Amino acid sequence: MNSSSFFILNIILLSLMVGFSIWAVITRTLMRSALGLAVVSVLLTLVMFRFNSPLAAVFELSVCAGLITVVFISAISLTKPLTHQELLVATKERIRRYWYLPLIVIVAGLGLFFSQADLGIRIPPPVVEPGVQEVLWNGRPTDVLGQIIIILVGVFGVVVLFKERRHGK
Amino acid sequence: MANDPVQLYWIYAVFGFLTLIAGFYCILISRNLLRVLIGIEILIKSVTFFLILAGYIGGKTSLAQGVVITLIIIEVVVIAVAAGIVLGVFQLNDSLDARKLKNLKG
Repeated sequence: MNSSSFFILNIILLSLMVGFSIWAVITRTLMRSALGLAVVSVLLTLVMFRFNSPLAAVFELSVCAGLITVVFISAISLTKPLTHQELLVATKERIRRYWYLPLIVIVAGLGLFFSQADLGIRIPPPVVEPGVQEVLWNGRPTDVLGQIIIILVGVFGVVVLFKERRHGK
Repeated sequence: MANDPVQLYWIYAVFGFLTLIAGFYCILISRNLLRVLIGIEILIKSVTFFLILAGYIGGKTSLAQGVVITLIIIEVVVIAVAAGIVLGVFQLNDSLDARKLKNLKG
């Protein structure tokens, strides 16, 4: 694949990612928002694959597009949906509050595109880098320790939350 | 197509900034707590994209992937705990509306 088609396909994927992000924000029902978020994750996964990051892409696909979507859908199904009347009122209010977002995104996109701000990006010479496993296990062991602690803290937090709720009933 | 690589990466970065704007707007405007969580998720997607892009530009994709894996794990834990808190709030108030959270009001 030549660089031109690589660039164009990346731009298409990124445009879809921004589009689905906006859709996830402005769409009416929470279920559609959660599904829009899952699509954003899938598109980000494709972008990651194209930017030579396959391992992180697999994590993103399995965890973010899969697990987090399940968490959101479970949470949505445990809450009470709006009645038809409430939905009509909410829709009117939503249109009033959210129609600015596409406008802001278009204006900001055009502004940023033409501004070409100099962020001081200097492209370094290519280097031979170690594999992800080596970087993660040998180069950043503190990160791995932090991940384990965060997972334990998360499990503890969820257990405490649901335990309190059971007692609360 | 942009020929200068820096200009090319700037165009990619613009899409990251736009996703960031969508996430911030969602957090600022939404009153539904679950939708606020979705806004946080969109923000994290944007940050993930910036990390991957930075790794790609700098030729250090392994390091970027290591950081992104850590970020994803933090993201899952934050969302799982936050969803639990939101469900607790729903059971207490019978609503997900942030305006009805007045129990902590001083």
